Amino acid sequence: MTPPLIQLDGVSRTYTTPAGTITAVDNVSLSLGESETICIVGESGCGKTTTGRMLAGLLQPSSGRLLFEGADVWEKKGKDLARFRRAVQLVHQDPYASLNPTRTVAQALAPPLAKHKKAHGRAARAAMISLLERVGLTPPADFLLKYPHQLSGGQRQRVSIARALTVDPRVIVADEAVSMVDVSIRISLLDLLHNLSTEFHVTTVLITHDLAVARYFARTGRIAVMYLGKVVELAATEPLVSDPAHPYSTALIAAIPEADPTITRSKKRVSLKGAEVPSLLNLPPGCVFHPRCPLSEPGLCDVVVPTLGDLPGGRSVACHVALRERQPAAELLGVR
Amino acid sequence: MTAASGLIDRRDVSRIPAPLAGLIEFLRMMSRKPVGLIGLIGVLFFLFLAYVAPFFVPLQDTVDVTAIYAKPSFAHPLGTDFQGRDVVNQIVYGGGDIITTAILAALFSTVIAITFGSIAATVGGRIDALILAITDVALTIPQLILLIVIAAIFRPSSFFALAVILALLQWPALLRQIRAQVLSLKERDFVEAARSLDLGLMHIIFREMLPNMRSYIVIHFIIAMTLAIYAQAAIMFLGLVPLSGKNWAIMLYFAYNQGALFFKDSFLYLMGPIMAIALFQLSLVWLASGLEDVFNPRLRN
Repeated sequence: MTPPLIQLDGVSRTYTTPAGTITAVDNVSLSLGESETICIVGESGCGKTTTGRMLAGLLQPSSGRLLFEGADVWEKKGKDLARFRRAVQLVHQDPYASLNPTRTVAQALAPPLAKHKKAHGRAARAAMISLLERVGLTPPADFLLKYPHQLSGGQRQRVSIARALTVDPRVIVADEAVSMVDVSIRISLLDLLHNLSTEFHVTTVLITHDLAVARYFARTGRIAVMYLGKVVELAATEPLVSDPAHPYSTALIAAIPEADPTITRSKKRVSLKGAEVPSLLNLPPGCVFHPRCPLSEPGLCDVVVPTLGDLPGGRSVACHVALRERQPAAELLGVR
Repeated sequence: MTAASGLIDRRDVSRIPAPLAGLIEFLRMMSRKPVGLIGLIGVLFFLFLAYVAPFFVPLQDTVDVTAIYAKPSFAHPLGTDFQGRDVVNQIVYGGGDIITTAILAALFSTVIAITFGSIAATVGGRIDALILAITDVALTIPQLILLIVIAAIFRPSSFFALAVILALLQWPALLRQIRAQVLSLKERDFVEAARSLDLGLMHIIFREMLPNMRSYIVIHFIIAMTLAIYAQAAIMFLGLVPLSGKNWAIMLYFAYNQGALFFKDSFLYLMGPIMAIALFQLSLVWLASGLEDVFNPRLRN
């Protein structure tokens, strides 16, 4: 069996702050195949950005391994490491910070083409034009001499995607790549990222706090829901959205606004016990979600930490109650 | 194909702006702020006066006792000095050394500051602490007094040696700025992107970081020049360096020591070099203020 393209193997990341040690990401495992789309969803502070940065090899995990084609990335050196760095590109959240304000679009795209593809002069220009076309900046020649401040947020985001594509990456990690652009152009940016995976076989990881964005982007892929540093549910998008197993996913999905008022009225309301997210410095015992969870069972959820367990259909969930109640009947019979 | 993209075709896209286009753009930007433009013209005038004019104006170095402290006339627009020599002629010949020394001092101090500021910020740890400690010491010592002591001990006779001494006093302020800039720039997303595109350290320093510090560097360079000119004027006026050749500051020294203050006739002999220094300094400061706008790419069109 070939190893997955890129894999997080039980990675954790802790930070030491004056107030104590916090675990931003706790024992997360995730493996991604070729040209897959996956969304990491969660509220701010849940560790999704940290996870993305570890996936891109920009942040070393405190424990656990990052594997690329089966080999540990943090043991790579020299050329091998450089090859990995180019294979995984991060598209940053803030398009105003991710482009050098003193360099034009052409100056941003030319150096990686010159260094890694030996494309100079006319060849470089042709490559840049085709990249800009690919990311939907038309007419491309008009953009080459523009400085970042002459572009809109969405256009800048496209330029940073084009810049990432100069090195033919295998994986693109887009960290909140659409949260800072106007709602009206989000869809086209999401389509652009989605097409990278279908047409160019790039594995795309979108990190977002917006489940509606995740549902749209990863419609053919998977969603990982994170809460306080842990993956609480990982499933194909369609089943996760239509039938979430984890109570936190249920609450997130219930919170997606619907355009149709009749759906909104008939929608199942999930009432969490509180809106307050516990501090990472003082995590509750047992399941970290139990203080807010409507299904929480005293004596179980506030004592035992749930681990990610498999459910039928290739989904996994970290919830005692969901795992118990969704255990297929056949399996239960088999146990008896 | 439109005319605009045809224009782009002729240039290497990775090297835009081409030098000529860059110069036109620079002048266009400068002309937006009158003060900066006046400064630029002033600086160019003095550079011309100091480096080009001596080729056309013969040196008048002969003592003429019949014309001591002569009144302004067509032959001597600013009169003559205590030995009957033309003041304007001395001003023309007196700029070269002082400006060359100032440029060299500014260049050395900028190179020191960029090199060690970047090292401190990128290496960090003990090296950073050491560089910062030395910088702080250098910042706290009263500069002019230290300069007087160094000049009195070494008595630098060449303008190169003098420039080195002046540079050793001027790097600390820019070093702190460069260090702070590099510390902030190296965390920026576009630097991280360059790192992940594997573009190399040289590219990151010279193409991503330095262009973002251009304004600090150029403005420091100009301010360092003004400080170097004041410092030269001070130590030469005090007679701490061997007085040789023609020099605005040496003119001041002689004007003062030959009692020019007490002769009403010698007013212009004293004011000549003072005005030359003051106007050149003013031009530099105005140029610096005009350049601030040029280096902000947001103001470009």
